[in-house]
Amino acid sequence: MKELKISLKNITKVFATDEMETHALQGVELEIHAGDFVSICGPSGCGKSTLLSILGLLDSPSAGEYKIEGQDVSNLSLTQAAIIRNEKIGFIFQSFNLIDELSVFENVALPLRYNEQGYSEQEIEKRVTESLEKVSMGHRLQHKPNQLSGGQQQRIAIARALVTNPAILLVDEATGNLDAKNGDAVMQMLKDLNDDGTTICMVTHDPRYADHATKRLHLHEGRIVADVEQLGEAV
Amino acid sequence: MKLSRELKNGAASLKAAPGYVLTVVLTLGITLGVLVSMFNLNYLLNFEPLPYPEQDKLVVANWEHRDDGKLRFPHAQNYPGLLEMAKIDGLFEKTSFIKYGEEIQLNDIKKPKLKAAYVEPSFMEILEAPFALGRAFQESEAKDSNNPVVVISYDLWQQHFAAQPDIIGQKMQFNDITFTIIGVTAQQFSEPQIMAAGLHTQVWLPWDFLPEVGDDFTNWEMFEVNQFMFGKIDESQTIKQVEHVLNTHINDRFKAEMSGVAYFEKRKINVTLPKLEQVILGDSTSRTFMMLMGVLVLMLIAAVNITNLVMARTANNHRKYSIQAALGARKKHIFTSIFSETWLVMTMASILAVVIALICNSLLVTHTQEYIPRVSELSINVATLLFSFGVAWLLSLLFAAATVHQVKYAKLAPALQSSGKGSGLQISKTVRNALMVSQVALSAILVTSNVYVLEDSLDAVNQPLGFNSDNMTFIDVELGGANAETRDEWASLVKDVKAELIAHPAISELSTTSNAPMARTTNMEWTIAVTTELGGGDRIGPGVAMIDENFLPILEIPLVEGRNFSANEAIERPRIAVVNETMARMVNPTGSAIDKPLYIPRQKDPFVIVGVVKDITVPEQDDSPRMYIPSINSASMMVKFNEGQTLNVEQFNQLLSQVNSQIYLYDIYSMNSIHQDKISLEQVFAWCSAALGLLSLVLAGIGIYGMFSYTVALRKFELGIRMAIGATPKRIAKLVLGDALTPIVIGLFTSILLLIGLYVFINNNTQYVVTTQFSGLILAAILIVTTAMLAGLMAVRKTISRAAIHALNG
Repeated sequence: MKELKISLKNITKVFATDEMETHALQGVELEIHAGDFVSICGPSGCGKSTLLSILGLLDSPSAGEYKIEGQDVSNLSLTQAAIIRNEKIGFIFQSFNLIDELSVFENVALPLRYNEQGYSEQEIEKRVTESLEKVSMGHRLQHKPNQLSGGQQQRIAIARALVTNPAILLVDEATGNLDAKNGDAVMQMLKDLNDDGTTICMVTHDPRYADHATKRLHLHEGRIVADVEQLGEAV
Repeated sequence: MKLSRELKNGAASLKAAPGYVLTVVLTLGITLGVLVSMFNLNYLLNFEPLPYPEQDKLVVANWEHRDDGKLRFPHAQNYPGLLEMAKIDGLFEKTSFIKYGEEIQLNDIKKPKLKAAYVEPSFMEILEAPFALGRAFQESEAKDSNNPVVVISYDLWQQHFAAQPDIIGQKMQFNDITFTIIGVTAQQFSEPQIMAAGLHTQVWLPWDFLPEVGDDFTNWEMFEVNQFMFGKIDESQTIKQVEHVLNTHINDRFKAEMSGVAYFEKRKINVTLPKLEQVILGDSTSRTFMMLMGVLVLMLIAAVNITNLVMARTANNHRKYSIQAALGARKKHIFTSIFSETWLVMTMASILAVVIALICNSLLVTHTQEYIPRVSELSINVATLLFSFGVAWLLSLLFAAATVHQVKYAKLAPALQSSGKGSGLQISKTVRNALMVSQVALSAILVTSNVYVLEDSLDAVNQPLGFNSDNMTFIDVELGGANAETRDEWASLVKDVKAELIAHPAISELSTTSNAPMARTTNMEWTIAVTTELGGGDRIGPGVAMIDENFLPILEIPLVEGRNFSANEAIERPRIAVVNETMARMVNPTGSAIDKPLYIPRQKDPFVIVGVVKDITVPEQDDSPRMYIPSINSASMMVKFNEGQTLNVEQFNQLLSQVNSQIYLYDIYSMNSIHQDKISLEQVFAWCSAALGLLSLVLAGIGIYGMFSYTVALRKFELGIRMAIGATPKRIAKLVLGDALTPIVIGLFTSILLLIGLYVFINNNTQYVVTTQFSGLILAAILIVTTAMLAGLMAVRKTISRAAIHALNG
């Protein structure tokens, strides 16, 4: 039995204004095990991004239980959530979200610098270099993000997500801002990482990329309407 | 798009941002209001002519006294000299003597003391004084006519006579003479305040009825600071020419009159004829100009603050402007959109500014009449309104232009295509840092200056007097009506008065003294000319008081050497004196002053010093020599009341009438009330500097908050990324605050350099001397850094206190 990384029970998210309430997620149940590659699909407004935000502790659920590696993270303070995010979650965004002012090295090193335990400079250098090597960007340490192509920037973003050895990688339309060639390359990289044991949860519109996943979720109006294990792929 | 529609859109947009509107309106409204008031005041003093005809030709004679080149008195005139000046043909078209004083109205049961001025008919004639009722003095009431008539002020008529319409012809009694009221000056008559700002004369009396003290009218030694000659220069003369003639004449005459008097041997009198406007304004225009400059700096800080706030708002509105650009809006459309908002806010602020200016003007009129001349003429006029709205609208134009200038129009529309940071609206870091540096530097200068003034004022307010002022009241009893003709009769009357007063249970102790240790004005104190050797030696002009043996103990003025007078000496009046430490040092700088003689001009027998007492400290007065002579015959006294008890004028008069129905209280004032009067200006300075310092700090806080808000708005997405990858709220706060530290430190450093420049300028170019005090700067630095950190935390709080997704979503 594979280790249970993520467990969501009856997760609900309601956005309320003075005039109305919008139920973005309604009773979502989900389990992600170590080594899973989960894709989340669905039409616009179905709650994909909200689910990913909650999974990444960027937002908190209105109700329900959320556990990461057995630890209840449903009602954490902002500081506690930041610490868990730093240690257990790696993010890859559609628009890369690198910080323009920082070099490639510093962008990738950033999560390590935010770590509560505090890494030594040697450890940071070692980890950053290893991480960048994984995405074949070890030769661009001192470049600034705007000196790189979109595909290269996304690879840097992947290196940054991997640098803390997170429990899970959360991927938000990672290929959305890339052309087909670069998109395919990034997708292959994610596949390779998954093959090496990295747990991934990915939001995507593209059915081609969704097919890479070992488990495909379909969201509709805030509910999971299909939960398909792609056994053939998993073997 | 029509401007009206833009304004409507702007109003709708502002409605959704009440915090922004409130901050800008309050910041600009308050500072602009104070600026408008200061503009109003400076305009009045510098550009509004005095309300008198041919005011350029009106002058006031001033005598400056110097002994051997050393300034003795800046202004003091004697009557015989002034009289001779007026009689020289061809110098003046018209002249009038004027002497200020106080008179008791004896035919009123309350015996009110009124501000009086003795004048000649030409006084009202030169001023063309308007009248509400009756008329001015005529030739039939000129000098030597002895015609007892009186002109009263509009305020006296309103308050004292309840605006009786039949006031003309009614009687007023002063000094046993009955005067007929012949006129009431008009409400709009603004008398020239020659003697002091804020002195409002209540009754004008003919010169003939000026009570003569001793040989005032003929004595060339009797200088007074409250009598003037006021006149209109003859058309054929220049002021310089007239001054030259008068200088020669007065010095020749003075020398002739004072021949053989050692004390005046080296006296030189410098006669000048400053214009009436100069006399009235004094150095007030430089003070009010400094006030205007101070407020301008405040306004500058406010303007920087509002620039920050407007930029922060523009940055927050980047999406709106991006959409407008994507839909084809050109740069001028973006400008109109921003301008319509700023114009609306600035207009609201200028309305508030006018209200604030009205309040400030009213405060100035109520509290500063004694310090600022002509302040009672202050009013909001068209120039003021134009200034207020003009400044506000000009600022709105500048804010909009400066903001649009920073907008990278070409990047606006593309900004829509990404979830980036609105890069089309980024203001360069250099500009942002420059704004922050200027903000901090200006605030630090203002806060430091205000802390300096505050410390100085508090020192003056809290300075010990050197004598006990609690429960101490000075009274001056008028014995004139009691017909005490001989010295013994007078002494007996004083003794009876003292006995009657001391028997009252409210009074614990009593001492006769010719004057109080702290007089109502510094000019009221009697001074006397003494030398340390017969016919020569050092010349000293001490304040002199004739006191009994109780004076020093009651007031708790400690002896430092020698002894006090005995009761017997107070009666016998031997030629002995007690002096204060300052005078003792003048008499003998290297040793004891005890047994040293003090000679009075034309008297052979010296006063011998038997005791030295501590100096007392009178606010606004330098350490001055004092000399105490024994006597018990003065009709003025220091009264010490029992704790919590006091007597008013009527109660005193009741007691005095028990002794003799013709005697009454001429003057009364408590030492604490006089002290309060004397420190009131320092208290006003203390309050103003504290308020201004606080306002500077609040403005600095708002400005820095604006800058932080702007920075946070720009960096929101970046901060969101950092939060997404694990930065805790504390780390984000530290990051934002840390980035601002450099400009804050540079700002503080800049303020130190500017303060050094200001220090050098003031000490080298003005009459003021500023000492170096680091406490103000250190306090200012601590306050500003704390304010900046708090402002930064407030600005970043909204971002770090919410889930990271909000920052990421922009």
